[in-house]
This record gives sequence, C-alpha cells and structure tokens, in this order.
Amino acid sequence: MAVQNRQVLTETLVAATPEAQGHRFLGLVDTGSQRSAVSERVVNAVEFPGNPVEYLDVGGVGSSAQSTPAFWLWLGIELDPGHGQAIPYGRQLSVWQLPRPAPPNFDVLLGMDFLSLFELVLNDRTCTFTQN
Amino acid sequence: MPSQARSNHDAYQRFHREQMEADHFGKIALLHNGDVVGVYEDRESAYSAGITQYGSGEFSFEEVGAQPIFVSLPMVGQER
Repeated sequence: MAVQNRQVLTETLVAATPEAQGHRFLGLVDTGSQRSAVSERVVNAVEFPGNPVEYLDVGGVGSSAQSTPAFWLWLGIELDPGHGQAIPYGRQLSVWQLPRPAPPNFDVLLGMDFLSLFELVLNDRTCTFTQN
Repeated sequence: MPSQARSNHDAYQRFHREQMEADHFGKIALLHNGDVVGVYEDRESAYSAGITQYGSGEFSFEEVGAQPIFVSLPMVGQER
C-alpha cells in the first residue's frame, strides 16, 4: 500500500462472487466514507455483476443527492501472512456506483464497511493491513 | 428484464417509508414487486433471502431510515 499525495491507495480485487477471478483496480482508502463504491469501469469489467440490489441517495459537497445504483460485489485485498504467498481476503458488499466522470487516480472507494475487516496502521509513507 | 431495484426504490419512498421508519428503523427491508416482503438485521441476510426466493433482478432492499450519503469527492454530482 502506498501513500501518494496524502492519499492511501491500494490494489483492490473486485469480483461478482468470492469464487470468481478478481479484477485488479486501484482503491482509495477513505475512513470518512461509511460505504464502499466503484467506478462504472469496474461494474463493466466484472463478469456477471448482477442487477442493482438497491438505489442510494448520494450527494457531493454543494450538490443535491442523486439516486445511484448499488451492486452486490466481492471486494478484497491480498494479505501476506508472512511466508511470501499473498492470500486474497475480503467480503461481499452492496457497493454503490460512482457517478461519471470517474476519479482520475482510482476506481474503488474503500469505505468503512470494508475497512472494518482490517486493522490499519498508517504512517507517512505506508499503510499496512492486518486481518481483524 | 430490467432490475426491480429502481421501481422498488420509488415504491418504497412513496408508499412504505413512513410506516417502515416508525416500525423498523435501522433494519433492512426486502422488496419484491413494489411490496415489502421481509425485514432483516443486515444486508447479507436480506440479499441471501432475496436471491434464494426471487432471483437476480427480482428483488432489492432498502435501509430503513437511511440518510443520503455525502462524499467529499469533487466529481460527485458534477455529471450524470
């Protein structure tokens, strides 16, 4: 995990189910977000993402809330338990879709519904995830 | 066939929200064909029931009493 321009970015796996082959995208660690989100590019990349499971009202600073679809997806990251073989670890969540245009430097917003699976240690240059 | 999520969301807002917030605040409501067909403790349970009983696209859920999500990302709300 890298800290770049005061943002914590990490490679994130996204799949329709835990058993499916995950697609790799860059994720932004955002402890200020309750819910995780993905860009439209992620939804289009995942085979059989399924249908929306809910609509959420989402708004930005200075804009009114808009109804946004959410999909049931598996999000994960690879943890290294210490013997050199990374193991994917994550969970299935209802993940809302970020409006266009997509963020320029990430495709997954990792909110607290995902981050609560882990213990995070953050310093100036690195962020370390440990399974809770 | 399009997902029911959009039409269920509209039906929930129009017909069910007020009563559900009085009776089941904080729970997850499972909807099918515009009706509330179950109330669950969490989304995992609601999803499991919905996919088993109705199949993909034939159900959706609502968090009872949910407030809009506001995010600080600059692009949110600029374009749809």
